Amino acid sequence: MTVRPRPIPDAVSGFYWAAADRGELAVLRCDACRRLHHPPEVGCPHCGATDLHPEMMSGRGVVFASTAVRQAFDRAFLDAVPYVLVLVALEEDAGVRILADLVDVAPEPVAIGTPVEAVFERHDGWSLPQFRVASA
Amino acid sequence: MSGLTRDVAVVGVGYSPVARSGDFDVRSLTQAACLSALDDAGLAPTDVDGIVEYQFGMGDAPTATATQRLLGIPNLHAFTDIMGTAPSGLAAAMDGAMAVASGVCETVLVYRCITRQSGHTGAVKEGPAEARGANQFATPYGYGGGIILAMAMRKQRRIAELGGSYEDYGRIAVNARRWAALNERAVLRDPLTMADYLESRPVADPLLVLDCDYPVNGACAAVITTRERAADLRRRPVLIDSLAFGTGAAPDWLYGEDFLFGGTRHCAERLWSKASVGPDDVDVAQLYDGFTHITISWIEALGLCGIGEFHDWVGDGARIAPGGDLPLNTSGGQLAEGRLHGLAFLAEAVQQVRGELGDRQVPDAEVAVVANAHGPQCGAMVLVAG
Repeated sequence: MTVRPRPIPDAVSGFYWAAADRGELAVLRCDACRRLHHPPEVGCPHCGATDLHPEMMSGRGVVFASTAVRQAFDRAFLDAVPYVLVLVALEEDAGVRILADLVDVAPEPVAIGTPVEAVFERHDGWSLPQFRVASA
Repeated sequence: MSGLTRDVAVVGVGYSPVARSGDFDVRSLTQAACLSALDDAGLAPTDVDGIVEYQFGMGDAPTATATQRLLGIPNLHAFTDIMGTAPSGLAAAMDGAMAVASGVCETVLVYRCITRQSGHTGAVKEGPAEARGANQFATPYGYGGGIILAMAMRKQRRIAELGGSYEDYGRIAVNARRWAALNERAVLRDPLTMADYLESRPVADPLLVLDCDYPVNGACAAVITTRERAADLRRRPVLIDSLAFGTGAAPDWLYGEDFLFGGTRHCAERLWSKASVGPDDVDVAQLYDGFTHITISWIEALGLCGIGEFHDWVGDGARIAPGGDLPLNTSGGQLAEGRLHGLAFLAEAVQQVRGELGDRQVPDAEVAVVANAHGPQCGAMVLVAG
């Protein structure tokens, strides 16, 4: 069975994992330039401002790029391959990308632009954002 | 006058033996490459007053001062150990050239030493139990192997965004073997057909194993000094006409603003703005091929063809092959010569401009362009005959 490395929140990412635990996807918005960014930084990658606040996303987006991973790089994933990883461009801002699994699909790259929605894999004390192809 | 404060030239290049297997002492590999480069220049270790090296930071290469010690150099006026986040091995030559151009030192030795132990990023490893820092958003998904999966996703994205086909990537892989057949140092010299490429093992669809460079044990070195001093040395000097870095906005392999090109376009724009020549003047190109996507990005970013035009430009691949109008990666590159990690592209370019490469020599090569890495860590140089 695949035992995933457990994400350890840092000084600014606690909100992300707390939101995931509630079944939500959260991203930081910059008070100054109003743009979103991910992964969470201590300064806005677009303007450098430091007043940043988490905002709940819809969890919807489209596949920006995908790959079907056929070779494990971490021994813990030897029995997980093949599986599909995607970069998802969020509905709220296509410039914000989230890396995650795409679940419940055949192990092939998924067409760019495919609509997807967030789902959450529950673990003991934490939850992992993933995506699935959006229901029509 | 070049775009640098003092004109500088590459006056020597050298390699250690390159091997596909075995257990090597990185000090011996580095020593062999450095002594070879110094001999090429007609210089002794005591003529060196600067050392710059690039490493992954895992002790996979001796530090600059460790190499100073093993070469018996009494003092250095400049020394730098460059982290893996810089433009691969070329970064050592770029920083070394800056040290000479600025007058901080007179003659700099630069190198990259790499072994399969650190360079075989695709090997399966024991993973961490916990994911911290930037890894918290990646390793819980089995994201690993350096930038392999980022490159797999670029390969899919490029076709969707810019057109072309997966055969375009195969042109780079097939070309590498054509040139490697003419290079005795190359570790993969058997010819490769497009069918061989397309049928090769998928690492992470659509990325194939033949899109990836080949890890080896080896080191490469170069010696850089002032144009003035270069005039008195053994070989025809090769001038550094221009050098440039590039990152792009919000730089990151996964989240950077320009996913397909990273910093290559910014880097190329700066490179040509500081050069005395332009893309139409290039006689030979040595462009990083850690992954085939990287080479295609550089060809387009450097203006050797238009953005998205690689497919039509490359045709059947004859123009980048021996006898073509834009000979590309004439050593076989890292796909076939082996992954010496960037600096060997400079060494090959220098030898092409000096006109000493025998069977694979590009006739009358006077202008070469060299580029390294991709994403947030781009670097490039234009070299011209001195």
